[in-house]
Amino acid sequence: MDGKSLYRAHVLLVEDVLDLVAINEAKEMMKAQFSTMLEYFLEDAETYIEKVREGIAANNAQKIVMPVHTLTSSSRQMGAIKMAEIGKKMEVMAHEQCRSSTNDMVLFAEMLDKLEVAFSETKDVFKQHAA
Amino acid sequence: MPEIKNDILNCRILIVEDDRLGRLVLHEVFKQQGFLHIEEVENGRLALEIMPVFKPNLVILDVVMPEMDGIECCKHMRAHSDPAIANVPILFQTALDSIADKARLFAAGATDYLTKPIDPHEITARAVVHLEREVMMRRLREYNQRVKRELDTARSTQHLMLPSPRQLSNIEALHHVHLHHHFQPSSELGGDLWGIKSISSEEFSISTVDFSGHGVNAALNVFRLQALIHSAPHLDTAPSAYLTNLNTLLAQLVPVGQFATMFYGVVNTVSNTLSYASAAAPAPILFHSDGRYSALDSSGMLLGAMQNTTYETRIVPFHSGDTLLLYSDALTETRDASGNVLDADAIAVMFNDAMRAMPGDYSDYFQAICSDFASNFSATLNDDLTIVGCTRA
Repeated sequence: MDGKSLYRAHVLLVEDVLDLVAINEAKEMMKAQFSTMLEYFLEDAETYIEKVREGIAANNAQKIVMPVHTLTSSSRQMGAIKMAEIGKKMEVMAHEQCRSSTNDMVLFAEMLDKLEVAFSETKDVFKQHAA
Repeated sequence: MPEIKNDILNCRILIVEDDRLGRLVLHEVFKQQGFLHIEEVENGRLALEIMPVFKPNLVILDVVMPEMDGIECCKHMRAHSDPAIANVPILFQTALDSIADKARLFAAGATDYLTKPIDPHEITARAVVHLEREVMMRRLREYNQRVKRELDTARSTQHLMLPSPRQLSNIEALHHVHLHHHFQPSSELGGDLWGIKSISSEEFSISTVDFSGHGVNAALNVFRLQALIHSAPHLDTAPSAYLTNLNTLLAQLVPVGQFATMFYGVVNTVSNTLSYASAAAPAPILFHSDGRYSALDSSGMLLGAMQNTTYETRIVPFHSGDTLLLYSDALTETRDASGNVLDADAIAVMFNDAMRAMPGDYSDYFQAICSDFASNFSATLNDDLTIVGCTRA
């Protein structure tokens, strides 16, 4: 891969993971508090992901609803669009399983993997571009 | 963003959000706008605990929270015994986006909602709108409470101008009469007044007054008239001179276009007569002990309408067992639900029938008629009502 292709891949990755416009708006809005906002997001995302993992281990869709809801919401606020997208899908799925009283954790486990990858990418991109 | 007024910035905002990032964002947005009193809690239960102390003017409420969610909290608030909590504006912030979800928020008592992620301009604009409304409503409630207190005081003062039960008992004992009255202002204050006063062991006076209009303006005129009557003892003369003198004084005081109707009579229990003068009062009805009745001539110029008015004294027999009925025009001008009004003849028939149905039981028939009128006409009563009955024993 030449330098140009590498650059394109890198740009695509940033745009897939973060909404830079939203982040700039958040920086403008939060001013000096933006670093605290980012710190909260990165710390709490780990907690919410852990709670999702616990819900899957407990084979309980109900336990997944709240952490994915909050994670989706804070991801949107942060401009972490890839995490927000995966989180929203998990939230819809969790609601559907609660309504139908089913607990199919295979799909959740797959999506949790994707969520963790997205979180890892988000952290990296924040470090490089947004912090 | 237009400048936010100080009284809005002084309002208290309670943020209820389980996610500390969400709380941080909201707090920072409001702080940067200059809001001075911002409090945060993590769920609905904590919000309900802090509300009686913090007394928020606006609650920003998340929907999905642990322990107690936003909808449950909202329902508790709307059912709260403290009106300040039950009526506080609730602005939901939600990531839920279906119409059914939003309908659930309003069904629970939401004032408004906005969707996450939070836009600082939108949430500030909405918060200001609801706080302005809240401040306006609070001031209106405070104003209403103050006016009500003042009107209550004025109403108590006005009731003190009416004859007291003790005065009535004294008159009844001294002059061997039975007295009954019904006084019902159409609003907090009335423009009606009636009075009775012993002049000598043989004579007492009885009067009714009805000022034009009703409410505060009419009540002020009643206070004026009462002051004149008390400050001018020379008014205790013959009925014609009494009204003539009173008119001269009153016409100088009341604004143009304001006036009263008045009946002033003097009962002499030795000569068995009623001497009276009238300033266009509704025609009093005289019931005789033999069952006959007649409406008295009550023609005369309105009181206080113009200077240099004179009144005529008329004298009619008033024997033992006779009843004099005085009333304000609300009795003859108020329509019932079917649009019917009572005229003087109908009133006379009504009282006469009641007297025959309950012979000798004066108190009961008087109260029965007043209650009957109240039940049929009170819903549409838009003027002050006074009914006074005086029966010679």
